[in-house]
Amino acid sequence: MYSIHTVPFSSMPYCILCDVTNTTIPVAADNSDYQRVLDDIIEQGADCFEGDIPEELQTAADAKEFAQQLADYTTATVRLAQYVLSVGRAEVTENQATGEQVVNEGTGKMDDVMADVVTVTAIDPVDATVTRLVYSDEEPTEETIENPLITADVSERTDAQAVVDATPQPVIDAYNAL
Amino acid sequence: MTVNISKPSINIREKLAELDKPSGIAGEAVLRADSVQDVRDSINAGRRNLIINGGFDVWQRGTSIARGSGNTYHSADRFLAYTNSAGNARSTDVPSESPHTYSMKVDDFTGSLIIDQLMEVPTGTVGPFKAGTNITISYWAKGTTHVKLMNRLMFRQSGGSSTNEVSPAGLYDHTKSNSLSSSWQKFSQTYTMPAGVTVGSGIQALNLSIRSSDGVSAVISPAAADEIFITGIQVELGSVATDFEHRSYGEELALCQRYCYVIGHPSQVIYLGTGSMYTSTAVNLSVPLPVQLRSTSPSFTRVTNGTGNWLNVYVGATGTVSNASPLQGDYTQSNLRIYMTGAHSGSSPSAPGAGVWSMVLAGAKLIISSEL
Repeated sequence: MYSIHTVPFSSMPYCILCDVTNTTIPVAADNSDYQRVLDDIIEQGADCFEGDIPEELQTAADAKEFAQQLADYTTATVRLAQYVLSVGRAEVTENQATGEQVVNEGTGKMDDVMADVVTVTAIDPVDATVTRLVYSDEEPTEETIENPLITADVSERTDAQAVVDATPQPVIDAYNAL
Repeated sequence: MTVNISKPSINIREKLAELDKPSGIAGEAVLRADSVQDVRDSINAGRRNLIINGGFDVWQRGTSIARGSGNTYHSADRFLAYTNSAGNARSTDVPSESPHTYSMKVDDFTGSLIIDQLMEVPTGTVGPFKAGTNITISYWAKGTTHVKLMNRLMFRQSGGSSTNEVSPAGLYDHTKSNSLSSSWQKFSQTYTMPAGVTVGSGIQALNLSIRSSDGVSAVISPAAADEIFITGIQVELGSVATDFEHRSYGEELALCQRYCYVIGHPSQVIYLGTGSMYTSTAVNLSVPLPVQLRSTSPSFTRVTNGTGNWLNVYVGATGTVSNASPLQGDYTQSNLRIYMTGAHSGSSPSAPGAGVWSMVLAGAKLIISSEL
């Protein structure tokens, strides 16, 4: 439980006292204990404070939570944008100027020489299953299981999708405005 | 006319052999050096280890901490051990071929092993860890055989908090794990800082995190009875793990005290500072610091002794023992103003303006922390 204490003639606004650890904590962003106070406000809300949470602390905690959600949403979005291992990736080509130019005899002007360029290479899907040897007292036996790479890919994508689904709209709006 | 000239004979074969000095590659690099600085650079001499207290010599807060004490700074200086999932203690079990005196023993697991140290960088920058820089991590470790350790590097604002964390790809690889055995082994890994890493304005450190791993994809929890020992942790720029850089205890302590200063002794009363009574019960104390703290705003943690008190404040010959809460009076650089209510009795001679002197009781501590 945290409480607020002031010091007479102090150049600092106030101190936060934690009665669990007997620690006095300054209001200073570069102090790791202060960051833990903000984490506790994010996780526990007013329950971790004796009396009302000072407005300044609540604002700092809200800003920290927003920054974390934005970072998590960014990471999750990047993860979901990666290709699905079990599907693979198709090749993408674009018709681009090569840098060379030739005279267009019809117009008398210089025209760019164009060529198809592969901008995204194709990647084959990984094998859906793998076979491994299982050892026991008997002869080793073969066992076919889902490819662990696919298992991990699905799990990570599921986690990333859960983060995206749980992200508040103001955070998504901030991401889209970046 | 014929002139005869005589010269001492020389053995050309011997002279050629002298040119082929057995200096080795490093020796030749030294011979080719144009300056003293070149020599120092070529042999990677001095000031290599970016980890403070990597040999676990300094334990200002205490030499052991039980599990369940929170994921923060508790025992070995500069190391943030996740003691919600394991206890740790100073141990004299060290590799015999190393010069180390102590190691950290981690045991009583209910979760994963995580030992962090945040290496300070100028705020909002990546410090010396620029794109393309090789960063080599090395340490000695041993433990229960099925446990693996892996290393992770990420930029952080503060210890134990992933908010605003920047974890560059390439500085975290589950597969680069170290399989422990019951014998001490020295492990090393080199990572290369990728290009294009930017950090936010709040970033203060590159966090080395040593974690228990399955070596494939995840952090795992060792079994309750498992034990892990580690010492000689070094992080250096470059692609080679050089020998552990030893600093004297005094220098290592001073480096630690930029981040944490503990006043107190298990069996001795330790002088704290002088000051004056603000009211008949509240006191202002002036406490000097041996090293300028990292931050102008440290935290204070009071640890009481068996009587439930930590402080003794004297006005004249009249002392009052208490468990007063120390509050920081002003921002600090080399000297602290600590303000405490209930630090004296309120009865004569404790009048406002009266001079006081104070001490930390035997078995008690005042921990002044400016940790990252």
